[in-house]
Amino acid sequence: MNRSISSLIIAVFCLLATQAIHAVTVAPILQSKEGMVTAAHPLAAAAGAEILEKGGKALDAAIAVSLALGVVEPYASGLGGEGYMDAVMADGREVAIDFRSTAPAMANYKNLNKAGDLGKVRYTPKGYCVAGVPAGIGKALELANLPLSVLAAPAIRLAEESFEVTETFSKVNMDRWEILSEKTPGFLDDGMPWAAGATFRNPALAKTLRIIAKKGIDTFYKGELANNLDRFMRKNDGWTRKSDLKAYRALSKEPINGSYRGYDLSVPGSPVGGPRILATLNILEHFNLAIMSWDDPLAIHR
Amino acid sequence: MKNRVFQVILACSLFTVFSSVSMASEVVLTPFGQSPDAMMVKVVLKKLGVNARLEKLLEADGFQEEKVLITVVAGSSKGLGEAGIDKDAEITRMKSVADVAKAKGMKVLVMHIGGKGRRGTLTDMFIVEAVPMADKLIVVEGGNYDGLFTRLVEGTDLEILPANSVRETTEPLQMVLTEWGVVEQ
Repeated sequence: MNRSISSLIIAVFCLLATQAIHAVTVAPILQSKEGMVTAAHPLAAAAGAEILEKGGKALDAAIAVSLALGVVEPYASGLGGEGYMDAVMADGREVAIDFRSTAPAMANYKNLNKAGDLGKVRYTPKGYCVAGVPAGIGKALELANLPLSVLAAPAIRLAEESFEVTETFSKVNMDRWEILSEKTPGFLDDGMPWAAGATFRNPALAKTLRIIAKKGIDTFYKGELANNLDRFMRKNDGWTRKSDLKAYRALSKEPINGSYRGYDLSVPGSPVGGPRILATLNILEHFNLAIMSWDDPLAIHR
Repeated sequence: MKNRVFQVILACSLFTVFSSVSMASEVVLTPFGQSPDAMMVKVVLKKLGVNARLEKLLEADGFQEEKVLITVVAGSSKGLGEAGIDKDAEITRMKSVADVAKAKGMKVLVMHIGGKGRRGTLTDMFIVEAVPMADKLIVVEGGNYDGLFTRLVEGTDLEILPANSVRETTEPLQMVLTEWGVVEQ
């Protein structure tokens, strides 16, 4: 059981999209003998727990969490993102899936040179890279128990029925207001940032999730959603084409193994930060952190 | 004939609409801390029909016969960096701007619209300097979570005008600007 709990935690953690996670909260330490889901947002963790209750295993919960996070913290996660999953299955198999995004073929040296200030281009359709999250979920589904329609249900419900805007959501909205009001005013609350405590719905995302849940992941890369994206890109001077989407593959890789004070570790390989984590932990092994308090300068700096 | 009547009715309606709002730029807006929040207030003012001039680095000699100075407080390291000034220079700028505004008989409205998320060491430093400049003070919910604004207005006649969100600052803004003769009732 311990092993499956740790794989659950690792899977959920690693399936998150890669942008910075802003949420920092203080909460009591919780324990469970039956399984536990952690996520950057309580509603996403609840989505994972709901899937466990329906008979899903860690990977099922991780998929549900990933989809739910895309709804409740769209500034940090989502179908348009990328990631890396590293999981240890109950039978001991180690799995690593690399679903980082790829640049479209038209994002070549010549076009990038002509595009102007790349700091600004990144906020235009030209800045879009082929998303890896749907393909990563597709690969993870091969190891899951429950169908995508069940795993996507909590995310669809959140997007359709609404949820309360958090302080973090609101702050990111404030910080990014200028760019949001210029590029996607419809995302805002009548032109203004969403306030903490407000009720947020995302029917367009719910519709997209419903299409994926009904038609499968392939619709994102080869079907209806690929056609929609291709049309949007052509109309708005973007570079991604359906051919880029069709060519995308999530990659199965070998995780890297290491140890820390007798614990076996399985981490993602390069270019994700796994090797760095192992190196850091191996250095830390030489220090007795247990005798230092959490705020001991030696503990912090080591 | 029908067209003529319609035109007259339309003209009268438009006149009625426009006569209730400010036509000239009677409001000058500047951030205190160089966050983008002042731009949001400009949008809210536009919804109220108030044409405000936004000057990110308004100086004491930069007024153009406006009646009201609105300063929106929130510290942004990025904004200060882009503007090429540090926090001390920003405080000096705002103090001299507010002094001249008062000397000209202008009203000063201080706003904090970012809630709890727009508080912190840098912003608090600006808030402490800004509140004494204010004739009126609007604070969006969460901004006064620790009672900082309450402590700063203690013993003064200044009242904190609350709003639930940036969007809902229209209500206190309309009230204040009506009282100051910028918006007609």
